[in-house]
Amino acid sequence: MSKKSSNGTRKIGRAGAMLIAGMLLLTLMSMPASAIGIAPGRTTVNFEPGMHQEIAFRVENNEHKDMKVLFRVEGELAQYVKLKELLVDFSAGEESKMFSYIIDLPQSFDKPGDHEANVIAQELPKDLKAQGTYVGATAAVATNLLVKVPYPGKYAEIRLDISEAQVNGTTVFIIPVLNFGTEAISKAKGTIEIRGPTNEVLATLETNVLSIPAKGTGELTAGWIANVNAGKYYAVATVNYDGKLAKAEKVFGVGNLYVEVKDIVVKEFTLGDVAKFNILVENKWNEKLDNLYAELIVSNDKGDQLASTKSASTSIEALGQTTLDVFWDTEGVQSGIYNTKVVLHYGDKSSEKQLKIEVTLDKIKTSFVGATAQVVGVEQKGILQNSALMIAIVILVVINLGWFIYMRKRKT
Amino acid sequence: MENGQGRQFYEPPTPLLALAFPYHGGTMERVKLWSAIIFLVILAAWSDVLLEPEAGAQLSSRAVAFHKIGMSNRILVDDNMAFSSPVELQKPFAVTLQPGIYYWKSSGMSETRNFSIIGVVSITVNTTEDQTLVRNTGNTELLVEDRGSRITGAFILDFGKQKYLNKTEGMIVAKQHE
Repeated sequence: MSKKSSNGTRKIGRAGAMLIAGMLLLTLMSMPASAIGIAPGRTTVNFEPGMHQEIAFRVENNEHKDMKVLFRVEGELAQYVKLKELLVDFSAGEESKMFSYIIDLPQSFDKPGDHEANVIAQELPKDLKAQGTYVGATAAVATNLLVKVPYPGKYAEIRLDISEAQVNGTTVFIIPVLNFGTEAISKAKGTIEIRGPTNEVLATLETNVLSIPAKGTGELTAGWIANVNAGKYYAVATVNYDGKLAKAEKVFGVGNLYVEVKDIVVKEFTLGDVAKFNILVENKWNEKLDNLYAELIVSNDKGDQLASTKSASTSIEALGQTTLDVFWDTEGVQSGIYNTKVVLHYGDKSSEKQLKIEVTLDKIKTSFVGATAQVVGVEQKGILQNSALMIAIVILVVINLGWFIYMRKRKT
Repeated sequence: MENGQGRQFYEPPTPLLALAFPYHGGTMERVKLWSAIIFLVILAAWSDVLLEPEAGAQLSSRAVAFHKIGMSNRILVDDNMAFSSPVELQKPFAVTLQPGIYYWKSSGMSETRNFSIIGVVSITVNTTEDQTLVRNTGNTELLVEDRGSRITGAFILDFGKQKYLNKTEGMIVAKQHE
């Protein structure tokens, strides 16, 4: 009876769900939808006095429908931007259309730096005129015009990009230097200070030296072998360009967030009782982690899971160790060897370790199995390919020499 | 070649064809020719031919796949021609990039090509009875301005993301962020 009513409820539930889904679909279909796209999102030009330029852009009819698009210009430079068209029609078959605007810039600007205007393309319903009013929000997209007016003299802006690495790998620091000045920079050199979690300076790196023409860009780079613990670090880059300074900062990571199982011990055990597994774990990350817990999964030799049990959650200090206790009720368990997996959960990550446990009447012996494998095949393939090429070159050189000697002998 | 006036030496049209005529030219000339051929063979083996993206290509997708012919097993991509901080790609030669101008070449001997990923600002706005759903359908992070009749607000919408607004009218304006 309960089963029948349960099935009946399920049927009603399914029917109801389908009805709701259908209604939702109808609602979505009847929802006023507005969609429009524009490209490029930004056009950057370096200012020149009295600059006259035509700039093209593309408007996309993403939903392939009939629509009107209204253009207008906003922003500081709006007065210098002339649109060729103000209102255009799209038919359902037109995926995109090209348009353009013309900029006529003045002879000079009062302030150096960035000046901008936005050309806005707003979608209007095709039947707006007939309806008179439109219910719903409308979509508009902007293509940005960014005019960079150079700073008098020498002026540079920098950014700090970091290519993160594993522990003992090489972290690469890249500093793009953008010369926004009217004069060339004859010598730009960067210094990068790497700081640890307590703000102590771990290393100071020096970059290469560059000269950068006016309105030009250059890249300063430096590498650092990260022979430190995994974790978060802080880099401060300072670029000295012809006596002036520019600064950029960034937090970066070394290695991965990782907690390792160091040891598993079971003391004072009797078969049939509850076994207490003391799992010693170590935090390899240089920050304290909360909500760390262990899961112990025991399986037989056929792979059938016999038990899955979890420890309580705890915190672990940066680079510290702690013990997690997991309990396994061995009632009905036969003595023998079992495959076991310990999974550590922390943050949104987990790490696991395989082990075999030997259960006897009064003891549980644990031993770790397996090892971490890393993919190294790709690098070897490259070496092989280069070796093949080198062999081919040597063979060709030998043939050439042979031919040369043969011909000389023949001549004599 | 017989022309009715006795046997004459045939002048091959190109130096390469001289190989087919063992009595033509001196030993040194032949050695030079062979050297040049071997050098060209080595050069051809060493160099790569870049296929896609084509030089000056303008792409709308951030996911870029590179195609080339040649022995080298890596492709270098950078946002500067000096390749001072390149991204090294192994097979499959594919990478996801931000909108901008990029340069690429093979790790062997090849030309350097440039291409650009154009920032596409694109949104879809769906209005229900009491909410408006804004979806970023472009390829760049957006600064979305919510221009209501009374209040104007703004928020950042990453590409591929969506956000519900408690409004049913007004204009939603999307601009490229950063």
